[in-house]
Amino acid sequence: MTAEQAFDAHHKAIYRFVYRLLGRADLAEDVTQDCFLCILREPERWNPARGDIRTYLFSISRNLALKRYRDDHSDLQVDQEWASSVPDQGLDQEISATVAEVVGQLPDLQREVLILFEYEGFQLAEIAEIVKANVGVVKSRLHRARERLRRQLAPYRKVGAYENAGE
Amino acid sequence: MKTPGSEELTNLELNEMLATWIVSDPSPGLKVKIFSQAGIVSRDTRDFAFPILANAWKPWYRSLIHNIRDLIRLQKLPPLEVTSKPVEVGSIWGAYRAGRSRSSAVSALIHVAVLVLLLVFFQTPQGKNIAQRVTDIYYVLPYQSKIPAAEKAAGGGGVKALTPVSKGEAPKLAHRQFVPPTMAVPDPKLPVTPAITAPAPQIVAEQYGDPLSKLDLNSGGQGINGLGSGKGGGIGSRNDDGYGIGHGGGSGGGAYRIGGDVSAPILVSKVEPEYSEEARKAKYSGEVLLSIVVDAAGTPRDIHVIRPLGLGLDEKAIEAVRKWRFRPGLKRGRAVATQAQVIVNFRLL
Repeated sequence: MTAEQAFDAHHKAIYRFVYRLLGRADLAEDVTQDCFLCILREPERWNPARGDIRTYLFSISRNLALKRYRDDHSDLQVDQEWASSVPDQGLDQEISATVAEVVGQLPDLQREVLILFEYEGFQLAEIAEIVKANVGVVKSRLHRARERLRRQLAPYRKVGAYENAGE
Repeated sequence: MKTPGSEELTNLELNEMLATWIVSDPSPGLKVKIFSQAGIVSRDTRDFAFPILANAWKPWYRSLIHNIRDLIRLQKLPPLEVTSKPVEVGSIWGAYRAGRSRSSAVSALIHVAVLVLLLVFFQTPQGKNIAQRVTDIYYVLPYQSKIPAAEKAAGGGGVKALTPVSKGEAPKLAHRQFVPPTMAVPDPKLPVTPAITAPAPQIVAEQYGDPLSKLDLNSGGQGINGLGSGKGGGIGSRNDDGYGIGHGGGSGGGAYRIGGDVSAPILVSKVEPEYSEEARKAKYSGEVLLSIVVDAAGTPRDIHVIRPLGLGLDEKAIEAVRKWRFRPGLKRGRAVATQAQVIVNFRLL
């Protein structure tokens, strides 16, 4: 696989992941760029025997995003339209914004695990490799994150979901 | 199963809510941006980076040959197919503005420093001479005497006679005049010797008159009082109580003061004063005030320093002014010696 193929296959997912982590489109693009420049400049650092290129890319971008997050956490301002790119109007958009906000309030380690699991569809083992923790830790972080979200998002539950839940 | 309105969402509800958070794709220019950056990195990554980039890298001699060939005969390239869209970028000037105050100050400083260095080190010897030449601004001022009035050059008077004053005895010199000297002294009740106010040696003579005039008929001169052509009570051609050609009481034959019917001398040729070596080294500048007498031939004489400057500049000023030539001051169309003051200005350019 060439770098171009890797880019075409994964850059959108990387961008989405970083955007959800940091909440800013420009930072997400920066981190995506840095991530791919990293493998373009030092391709030998990726060992195909050790793992999937996707896992490798996510682990790089996760590190870069955390670094960025720590470097300028003080002046990191979340985009006003963090969740405004949602196609649905009205209630869905409001819920989407709330979800973005509540996820953004999760502790960093829980947030990344949740995003990787819920939005990028990684297996726990892959997540463990990306965040450099063992599977049990990942699992407990994910569990705690979901628990907190369930509690915090309860006031915003959809009417439809209400009915479904009530049957 | 959680009931509706409970404190927590079900897993399904949570999944549905989480699914509402959709993130749009990155800008399409991102790929071009990244790969153009990677394209300039190194030859080690070129194969990994892009097949196109791999082709783009050539050893230097091949690109040199290629360039020379292009110079001689330009190869026609296929028409360019534009697949990318232009990306709007921020103004480059705005980016610079952030550090403008400091960087522009530093830039200005460097420019000034370089300019100063150039001026200092690349000055020609001629340039140095020009820089050290002096400007001399001169003024011929009305003479302001510092001598006490009694010591001044004296003036004379005269009676209203048509013939010039005749030769005779000089009047008695006194500190105070009671009776001006006249040719025909009326018979007085209390005789007072006619006198002029001047501290000068007595000349005994039988007749009052101008000791220097021609031997002639007795005459009181053309003036109003005294002898001679002036108005005062003295003898001679001036308007006061003494004799001679000055104003006021007293004796003397000094230069005329400018003013009245005496015109100022006019500078005809001048010589630039030189800077003395000490003054040049000390970068000393200022002005020297000289008192001079321009004689009837237009030559300066009796040069005195009134306000010195020092460091040898006074001597240089005198030396230069001595070489100056004037058109002499005129009194009734006749060249006469006149008093003048000259300011010689020494200034390093």
